[in-house]
Amino acid sequence: MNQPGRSGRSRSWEKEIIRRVRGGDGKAFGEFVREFEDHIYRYAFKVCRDRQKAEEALQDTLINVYNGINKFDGRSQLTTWMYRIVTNNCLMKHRAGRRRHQAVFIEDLPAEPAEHSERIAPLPVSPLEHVISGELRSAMDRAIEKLPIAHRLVFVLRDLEGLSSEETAGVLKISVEAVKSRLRRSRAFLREQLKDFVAS
Amino acid sequence: MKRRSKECRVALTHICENLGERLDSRRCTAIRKHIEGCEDCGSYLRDLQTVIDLYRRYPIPPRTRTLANLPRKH
Repeated sequence: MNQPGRSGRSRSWEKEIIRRVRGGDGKAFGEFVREFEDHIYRYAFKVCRDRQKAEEALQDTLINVYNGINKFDGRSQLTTWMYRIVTNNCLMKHRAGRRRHQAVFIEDLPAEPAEHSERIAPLPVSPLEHVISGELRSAMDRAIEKLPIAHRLVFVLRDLEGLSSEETAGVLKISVEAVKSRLRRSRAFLREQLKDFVAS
Repeated sequence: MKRRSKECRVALTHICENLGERLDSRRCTAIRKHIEGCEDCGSYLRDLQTVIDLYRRYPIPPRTRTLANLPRKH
């Protein structure tokens, strides 16, 4: 969410814009939208992995924010509150269009990294010098779409959005231990899925 | 094929749970030291960082729709 309170706009800017939006200032809501729309869309895309769903999640989120701004009590950061709303909208889209055959069950995710190999096999090719091209991109899509949504959310919030374990726990309303457990499994799973494309 | 040591297993779990966090406890310092000296764990850490970097660089498609039907006034 452009990380208000962490970078970008200050907490005092947040308080002021919230006050103006609550007061019915249409211009203020326009400012609010311009400030956050891009980041909301990008986060939604990372979770939904689909442009149309991400666009719908953006629109739904902005409506939810506008209608629910009076319920924001300031106890959590604005960022946390908004991540929670976007996440809920993405979850609703996910549930509506769930394709069960693509998901893996939690028991299929490794409890411990590379549990089945006795030695940690190095991954074979070096990728970052290359553009993320077709085959790799498809593999990345397949890998992250196989992750159960609860694990994908943790991976996106922690590793792609840069939230701490505590912040992620706050957004998802789960314990820090649950965040760490899901992150451990997600990272190990994605590494395993992409082992043909990345190397140390 | 060599079997992973207990230190490696602890290090790998730590990497998977805490990569990206700044942790300075004695335990974390010891694990970091192990990773620096262990080829397998170092390799695993680099692989994970690569995977995360790839997802961070994944191109997000631009939006095709403008926002519509948003509230304009109370």
